[in-house]
Amino acid sequence: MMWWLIAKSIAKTFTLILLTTATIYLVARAFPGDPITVLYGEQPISDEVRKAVESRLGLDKPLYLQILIYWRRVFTGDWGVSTFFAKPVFQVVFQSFINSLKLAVSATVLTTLVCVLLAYLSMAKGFKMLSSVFPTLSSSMPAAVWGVVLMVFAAYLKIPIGFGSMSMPLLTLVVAGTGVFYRILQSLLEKTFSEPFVEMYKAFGMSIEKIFLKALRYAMPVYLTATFYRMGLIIAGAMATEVIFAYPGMGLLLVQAFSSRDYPVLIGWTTIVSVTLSVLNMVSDILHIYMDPRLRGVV
Amino acid sequence: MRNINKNIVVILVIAFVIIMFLSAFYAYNIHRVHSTVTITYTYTYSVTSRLSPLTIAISTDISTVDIHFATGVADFEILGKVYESLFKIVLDNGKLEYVPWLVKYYKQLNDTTWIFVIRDNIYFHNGKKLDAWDVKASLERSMRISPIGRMLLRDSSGNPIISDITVLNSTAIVLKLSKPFTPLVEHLAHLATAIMPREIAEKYWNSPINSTADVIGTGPFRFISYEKGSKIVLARFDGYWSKKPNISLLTYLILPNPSARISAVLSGSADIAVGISPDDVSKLRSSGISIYNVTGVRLVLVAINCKRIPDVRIRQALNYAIDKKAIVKDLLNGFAAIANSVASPVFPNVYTMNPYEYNVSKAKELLKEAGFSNKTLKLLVSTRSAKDIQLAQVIQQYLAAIGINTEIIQMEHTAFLKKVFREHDFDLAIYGPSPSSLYYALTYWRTNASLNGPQYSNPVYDKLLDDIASEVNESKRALLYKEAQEILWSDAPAIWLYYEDIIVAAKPSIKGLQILPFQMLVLDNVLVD
Amino acid sequence: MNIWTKISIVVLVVEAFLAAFPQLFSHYSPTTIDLTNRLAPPSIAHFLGTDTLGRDVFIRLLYAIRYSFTVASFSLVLSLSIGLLMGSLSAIVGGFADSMLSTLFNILYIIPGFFIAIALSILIGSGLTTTSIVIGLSLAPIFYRLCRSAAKEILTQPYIEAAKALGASTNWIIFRYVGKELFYIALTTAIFLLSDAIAFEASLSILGLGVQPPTPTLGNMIAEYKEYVFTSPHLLIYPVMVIATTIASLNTLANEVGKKLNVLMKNSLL
Repeated sequence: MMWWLIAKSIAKTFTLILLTTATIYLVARAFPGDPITVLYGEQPISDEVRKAVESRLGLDKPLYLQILIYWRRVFTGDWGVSTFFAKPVFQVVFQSFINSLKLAVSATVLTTLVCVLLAYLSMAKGFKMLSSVFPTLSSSMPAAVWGVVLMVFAAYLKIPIGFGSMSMPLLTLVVAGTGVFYRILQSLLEKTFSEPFVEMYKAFGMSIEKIFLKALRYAMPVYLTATFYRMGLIIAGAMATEVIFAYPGMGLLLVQAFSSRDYPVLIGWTTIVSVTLSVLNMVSDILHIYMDPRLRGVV
Repeated sequence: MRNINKNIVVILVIAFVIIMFLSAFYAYNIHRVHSTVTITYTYTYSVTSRLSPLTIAISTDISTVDIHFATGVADFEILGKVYESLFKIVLDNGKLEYVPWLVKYYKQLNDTTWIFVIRDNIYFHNGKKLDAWDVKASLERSMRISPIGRMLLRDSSGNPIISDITVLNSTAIVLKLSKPFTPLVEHLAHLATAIMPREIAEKYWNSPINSTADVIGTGPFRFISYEKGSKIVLARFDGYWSKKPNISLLTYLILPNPSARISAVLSGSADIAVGISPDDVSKLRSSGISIYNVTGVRLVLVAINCKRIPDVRIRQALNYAIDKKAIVKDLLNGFAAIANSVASPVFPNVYTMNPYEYNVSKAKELLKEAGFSNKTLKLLVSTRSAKDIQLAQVIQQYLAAIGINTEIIQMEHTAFLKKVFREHDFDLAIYGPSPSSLYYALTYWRTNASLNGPQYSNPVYDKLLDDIASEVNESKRALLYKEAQEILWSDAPAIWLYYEDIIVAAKPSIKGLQILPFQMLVLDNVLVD
Repeated sequence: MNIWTKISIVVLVVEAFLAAFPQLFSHYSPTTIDLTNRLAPPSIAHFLGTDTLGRDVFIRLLYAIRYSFTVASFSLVLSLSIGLLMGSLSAIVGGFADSMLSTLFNILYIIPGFFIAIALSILIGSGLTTTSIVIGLSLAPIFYRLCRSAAKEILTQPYIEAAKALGASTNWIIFRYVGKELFYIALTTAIFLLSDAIAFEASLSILGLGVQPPTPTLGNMIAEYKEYVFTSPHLLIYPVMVIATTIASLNTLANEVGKKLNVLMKNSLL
């Protein structure tokens, strides 16, 4: 039964990826502005050269054929060459993906650590005020605004901002994400604390710190599933932060590829993002199936 | 199944995350190995005095690695350090000069024949010696597929000006022209006609260069690496034929955010920052940063669609309605020069015209005469330049004062280019051409020229341009230039505004920095203290 | 109701008032340019000083609050309508239509909002309407999923079977039972998402994808003034503080309202 569900999940994900890719390709093609203009900037080109470049980029074939050709190429590993830069699409997109992955994982890990610390202070040590201030402050501004604020701070303190390095975007994402992640953790921990086994431990005289650690272990799986998905969103969407700090991740890549109508890169981008998000979605769905019986069961 | 220990699931999840993380690093490393490019250099490193690295923060990324397809400022700035053309543009006493560069000497044999002798001591970055075959291949490629190259080396009907290039021996070539073309030397100084190895030109005969390993030129720096959207690294070419720079490693950081560039130079992550706004100058100076500025060739103007507004009086009225003095003084803090000519005065043969003084009543009068009232005009501006956007709002206000309602439409740069230069779908549009010579500047306004956004068309003017190209007598030519500029000025296909200053910030330890009015940094004499 | 909730309500009411009647507080217009008086520090004539083109900052801030709220509200109404309608339709009709719609909204969910923003801004230009549409489309899948799963759950309830048995038509069922429940669920979510919508508008405008100048919004004021952080740092502080306060107040209020609604629903008073 379990395997059947997993197979269905995979099939659904696969279809979703195909459809998303096709949609984005079509949408991008419908726009004013095209890669020819970008390559040639403010200059014109004669029709013969235009045709030569167009056929090299595969833009002169009928639309449905273009999509089919593309799908086939995707699965044979040939993602084309970026019309905008000197590198194969796969290399360009993969590089940005790795960068975003590093950022997302580090941000998630660090944010979790911060949240756990805050939760510990709040629940085990009673610093309730402190640990409600930070999350509220954090979610009072979106990551984009935090990015601006932090950049301004750093500039004023004459701290060299490593533009292109991971430090500033990481800091921004952690500061901006604490609010959201903390709420998840907090509500989970509160639910856990109302479980019977906590009463039991209290009755046994266990210290509040030890109880906290036990509750944490219990709540971790569900917390991880929630954050797992968010991590995928960071990869695709920490756009503002990447743009502000010139960090070469997926967000920055999208902005650049779009303004230069770099279709091969756009499609490669979407493919990787859809695959990642769908896989993450699928994994969290599967994990939910595991979780459910146990939440109802007794530890 | 239901009794699976939750611990195992937790461990699985964590393991999955760690594996993803590790595999990412692993795969990344494998990828790096595969993409390493090996180029062997056979030069002995001579002992030099104090070489230092230099980091420059720039505002846009390069759009291509192929010099023949370079169009943007960043393209010319960076690729212009890697490639060289037959001639070079230098600034001497406030005027531009076109001097022989890769060419040792040249002679015009008759009206349509030129002979160029190339220097004998020039090597490419890959060790190959430069010869006449490389020059022939590069020029032919530029004429064939370079968008700017085609514009520079074709006449108004689109016929190539150079009909034949013959190689005499390894250092001499003969150019045969289809008709006399006096701006030839000026145009061969443009980087769109830069020289590359023959093998590479032939390999990429029909399409742009798309591999960094094939970016080979004769310039003082060689191309090392390119991280898209992030940074470009060049290194000193020790086999350079002319004076070698004092810079060992040249890094260009791409920081589109102006305050990011300022932070970079304030904090020391960058030595030089370009694209500084006039509003930031005083703060930078008070923080001990040196400011360099030079009046640029970029003529900021508001193009007026001549097909939609054919009446000259209306276009002139628009010119009278704008207070250019106030804009230069208040909006730009004096970091610009009012445009009283159709091209920057650094070019030879540019004449100053009768200015369109700020005169609201005269503007209103002209509009009344032409019967133009109660109209709404669409003003297009590209989002690329923040100052241009501010300018748009200022123009909107001035036009409102003479009774014209303006709607500002901001467009992303590529879409803007298409709307203005291909579809010609606008009433007014703010942009700024940056020509490399006066002739080039005048050809923008030729009938059906590719950069003729407003679709201005004047057959008398077109004929004048052709006459200029074929007139060999210098003083006659100067008169023709004057006439052409006067016609253009009074026909007013645009509101002529100002020449923007190029403002560059540098740490005080940087000495010897020069700026060309094309927004190019000259690093020949730069020393880091 | 604790002190924070009270403060939040006061803040929001004051903002609403300022946004609705800005001209009561200043005679300036938010778009009048005065080049001779650019970047002036706060004074009696201009409470918060003037901005990069000499416009009065105070009145711009008031209008910015108005426009930010307008965009957020419109987008929420848009996404709620789409999500509610499509979601309940999906659940009730089921079958092929359901799968198709689900896939469509999944695609919309996966595509990051910024992509939609860039795409639409190039297609139909930027502005108040476009930004509302962008945010609306980005948030719609959330409502869709919510309403669809809630509707599905409701439809399995015994009282639906009972109503059917008593001869109620399908439409009647939809309106009477499904619609009402869904509306309250959606409303709770919408209140939470209001602050997200304002944050999203700010993020879009910071990247230049949202509402364009000269129309002021909190986001594009931040975008414009962050460039002047070295010469006139006070300019940036104003919109940042206003956004932070607004979002924090909305979040606090949403939490409280959410709790109250949950309690009421649990006790079947709704």
